[in-house]
Amino acid sequence: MIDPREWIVWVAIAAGGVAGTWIRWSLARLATGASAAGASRFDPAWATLAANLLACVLLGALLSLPSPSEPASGGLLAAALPAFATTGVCGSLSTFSTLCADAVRKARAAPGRGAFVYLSAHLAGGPLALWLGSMIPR
Amino acid sequence: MGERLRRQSDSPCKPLIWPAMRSSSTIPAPKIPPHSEVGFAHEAAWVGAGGAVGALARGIVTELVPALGWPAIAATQAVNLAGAIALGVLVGWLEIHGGSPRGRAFLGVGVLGSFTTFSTLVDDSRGIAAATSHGVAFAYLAGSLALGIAGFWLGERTSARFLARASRAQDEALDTP
Repeated sequence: MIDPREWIVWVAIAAGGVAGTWIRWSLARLATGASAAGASRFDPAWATLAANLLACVLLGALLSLPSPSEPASGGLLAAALPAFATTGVCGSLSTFSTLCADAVRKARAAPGRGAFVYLSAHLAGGPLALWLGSMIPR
Repeated sequence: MGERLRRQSDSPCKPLIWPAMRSSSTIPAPKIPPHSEVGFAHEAAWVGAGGAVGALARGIVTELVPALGWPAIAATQAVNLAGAIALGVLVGWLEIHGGSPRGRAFLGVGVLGSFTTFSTLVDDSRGIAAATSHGVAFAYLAGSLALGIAGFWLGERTSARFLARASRAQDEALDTP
């Protein structure tokens, strides 16, 4: 039979996926100023960067949390919570496809610095954010 | 009296019907600004549903790849490269078809945004840094970005070119009697 501990993990991943995607989408809406139709306040690429760095901080913090010595001893919630937070929220809050699309768009709009700065911010900021996050639980 | 009424109702019929019978590719696609057509709750529902689908698909790939005997970082590379190419194809399609707010929300922001991940990629590179050196880890991260950008660009160009040719062929088929 199907172990409830099996499927609760998949429910948690889907729920975390909805939550993470909604946060990323909200950041993008904030940047573009969806309420006022027309010109956007910021380039939505910076919202992608914010979502990605936020996800790295969160993942760094979650992975450096002291893990229970025997995970099998926990209840359903103990099985579902890590999957919800890491694979679900962090994985969906951060994005790679939109990052590539933003970089190509920036390179086309202004050949030269824009795309370079944007990619450098990801290359330097990602590991830094992960490290910062891992400092939080200590 | 009846004669005149009939003639009046007859005359506007033709011009009203025939544009609908033409292929949509011959009529310039309307430029729809983002967020204008789909309401907030509607868009939130599409984005959220896409996010759930993308996260589940990523979870399945993450489970399958180590089962096939490949390292876990191969799963991250697989979802990211596939997602970047797929987003390229989608963006190329939207360029030709003038944009679909619902398609962008569900497939672009939701499914593909959630399917691909940056946080796991950075965590993978931390593992590489611990196993080898910081230089190798940085090269891995930079190389992953370059690969993704190349994938996106290739997907977009292929899709835009293919669709442009397809719609041109359709136009020519319509124009020849």
